[in-house]
Amino acid sequence: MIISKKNRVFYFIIFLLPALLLYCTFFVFPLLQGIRFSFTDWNGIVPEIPFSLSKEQFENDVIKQLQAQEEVEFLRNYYQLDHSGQYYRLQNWIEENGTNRKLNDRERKKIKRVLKSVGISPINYIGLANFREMFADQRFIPRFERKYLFNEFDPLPLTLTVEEFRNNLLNHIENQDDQAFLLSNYIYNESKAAYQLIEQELSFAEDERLRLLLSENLYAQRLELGVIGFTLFFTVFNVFFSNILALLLALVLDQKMRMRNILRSMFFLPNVISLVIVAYIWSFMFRLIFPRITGISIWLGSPELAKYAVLLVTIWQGCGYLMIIYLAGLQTIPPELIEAAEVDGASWLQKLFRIKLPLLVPSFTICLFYSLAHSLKHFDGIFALTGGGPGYATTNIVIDIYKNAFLQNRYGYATAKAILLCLIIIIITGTQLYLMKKKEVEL
Amino acid sequence: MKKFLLTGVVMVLLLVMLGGFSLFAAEQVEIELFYYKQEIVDQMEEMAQLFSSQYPDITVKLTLIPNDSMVVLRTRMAGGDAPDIIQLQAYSAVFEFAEAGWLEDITDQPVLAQVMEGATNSVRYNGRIYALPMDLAGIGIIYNKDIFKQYNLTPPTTFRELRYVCSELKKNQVTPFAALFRANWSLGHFISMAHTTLAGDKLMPWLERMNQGQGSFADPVDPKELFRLIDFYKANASANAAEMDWNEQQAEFAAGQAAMMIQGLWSYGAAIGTNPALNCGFIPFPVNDNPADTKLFADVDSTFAIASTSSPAKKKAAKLFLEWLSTPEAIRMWVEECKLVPTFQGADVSKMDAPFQDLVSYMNQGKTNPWAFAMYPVAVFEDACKNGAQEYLFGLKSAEDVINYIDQTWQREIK
Repeated sequence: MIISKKNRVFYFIIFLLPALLLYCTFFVFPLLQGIRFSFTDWNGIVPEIPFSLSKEQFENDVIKQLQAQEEVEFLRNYYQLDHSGQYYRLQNWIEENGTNRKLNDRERKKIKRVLKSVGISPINYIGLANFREMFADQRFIPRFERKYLFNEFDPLPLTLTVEEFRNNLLNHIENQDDQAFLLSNYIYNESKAAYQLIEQELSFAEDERLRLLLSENLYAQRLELGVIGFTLFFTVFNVFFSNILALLLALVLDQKMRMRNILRSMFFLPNVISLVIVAYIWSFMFRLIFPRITGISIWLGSPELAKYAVLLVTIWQGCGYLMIIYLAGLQTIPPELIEAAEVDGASWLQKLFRIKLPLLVPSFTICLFYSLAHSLKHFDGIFALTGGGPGYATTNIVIDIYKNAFLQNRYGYATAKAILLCLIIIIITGTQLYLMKKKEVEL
Repeated sequence: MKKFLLTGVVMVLLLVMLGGFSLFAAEQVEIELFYYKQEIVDQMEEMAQLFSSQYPDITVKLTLIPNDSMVVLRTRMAGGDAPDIIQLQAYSAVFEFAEAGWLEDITDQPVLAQVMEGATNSVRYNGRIYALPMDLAGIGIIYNKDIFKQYNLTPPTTFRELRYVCSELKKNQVTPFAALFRANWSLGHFISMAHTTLAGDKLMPWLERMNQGQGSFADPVDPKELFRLIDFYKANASANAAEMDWNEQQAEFAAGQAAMMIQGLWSYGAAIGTNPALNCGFIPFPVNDNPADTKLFADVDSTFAIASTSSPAKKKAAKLFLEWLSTPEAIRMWVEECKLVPTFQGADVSKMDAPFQDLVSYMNQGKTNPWAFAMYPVAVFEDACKNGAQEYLFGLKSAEDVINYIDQTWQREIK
């Protein structure tokens, strides 16, 4: 159908213009606002015009600095000394003709402008300081840390292997006396190739000293992923495993079999449930069922295992959705191609690698894009499962932003991180789309 | 067709306008009360109704935001829409909003004359009072009297006695402490409680020095002594405490599997709700072997503040509401139905359960320490203390690391 020019204008006004306007109000404008805040030290609660100014500040820094008498009177209208006589407070409600009304936007803007002209604005621009701080932040970047292995009030370890003893304990002690004391209490046993705690009873003081020595010096090296590290770890594994699993499920459920539709809905079901509920169900599972199956009793509360636990839940929840996309992709493959291959005597594997997978590349593009973007900005599941803990073990960049902004009152800093995240997502998904689009084949 | 449509539109518009006018016509004032204490939902409804029946032209609209109430509040304020009456945690929450100018100065309100002496410290910012202190709460050891009786134990008053109690309980296969280590907030309370109790009289001068940018978290205490208390707590909690959250902790304690829990008194309500036969007492956590240092970590918990941005009519109504809260019937509801310890002088608390009586008796004897964590800068408690204590407990950080982290955060916050 050929669309006339008039029609085109009509459709533009009816459909595109509102969409464009909505896009600007709800995306472009907040984004620009966000970029602006990322250069400030805003703490999130200070209003744009100060609600109260101390008497000295108002009289010395504002009134005396202002040149125009008109502006002085304007401000005096809105800032009045309160009954304590110490503060000038903004009159948020103005009495006019017997009724009260709220300050309007025009007045607010003017107050803001006048105050700014004398250098009073609650929100200060600090340039790139937020971005610089991010990379100096010890929580942000991966680094090596220590893992302390002994609690003073627990029973003393009876044996330590030679390696453990030397690397995790003896080499950390510099004091000669302490070393000798330790070696007199842990004796090398050649038959077991391990150091053993001596059997005779220790005196109270000796026991205390040995415990303190161990609790301070028995530690191993560990890699702390940091917020960026965890985000990447989570993204890589989540994208990889949820796509593999979804593809396998799709291939299986594409076969002709009984209960196919029921199985498809079952695998998709986790995606329908809210992630918060999923998290509550799984935290029961981790507490009550997993210990029985695996013999490991601590999952979500363990700094090492919590990251795998949240990964598991996210993969379980997310792969159903990807499976549907792969299934749809598989069903668009014309059956005659497969039949022709079968006539030619192609094996199942050959069909898979020569026909199905190449024709599935558009689905890969979508699924990879979807899972990449979603894992990079995943929030609700982790938040409901662990809240980013223990410590910072499962804090990804979005949870970090949330903590910075809402728990620590650092809006400016949090916004800067959000801008960085936005850039990371755009770059990674953009590259992925560009590369994948080149690989797609047309039938 | 078109005619119908037109009349329809006109009708709807008329209706809307009529509705609008009728709202304006009555001089009803509706004030919004924003609160976070989820344990008193029904009670707050009841109080709001009682208040409205006495002041028919004022209605109180209740907004409950149980978790993350500060997040919601901050976003609402960022949008310029503050609730008229705001329930805030004492100290830093009040201070931060007062500093930003969001709270009405209520220093001259007559209701404050009825508040207990000392309670207003938690709401005074630069010499002016910005909120009405409402309830007192304590953090300490809630213990199961029946289990203690069964094994012939007396409530400990020193750390040595506590160690003895724990070892006796362990010998009898009873977990000493029901604990939650999966979430970090309880450990945040614990480290601040231990630190404050160890610091004793040195607390306030130390806080002042910290806020001037001098000094360190380790100054008023011996760090070894402080951090071994965390080790001690961990060693005497149940083996899967790291997997437990508040609900599980309450369940373990209520079922009598553990003899004690280190918690705020607000948890008592949940435990007694699960097991009404529970017989509990409330004692301070002893940090050293000097019984005189063993004081209860207790202070003002929640307060009511009025937003400075509300209209004059709403402010007036809100002040009436605060005034009404100090009337005998409101106090009676606060005590008997909300089960909260009021801050008003001479309030009758004789009908409250034993742990509350314990709290009040420690208060009356003056054997309490203030909630220092509420006076730390927000990020210091929320991030450095809570996460630091949790990471120390899991062996991820050494004591020095935690202290350095707290000091660095403090330095950054006061800048």
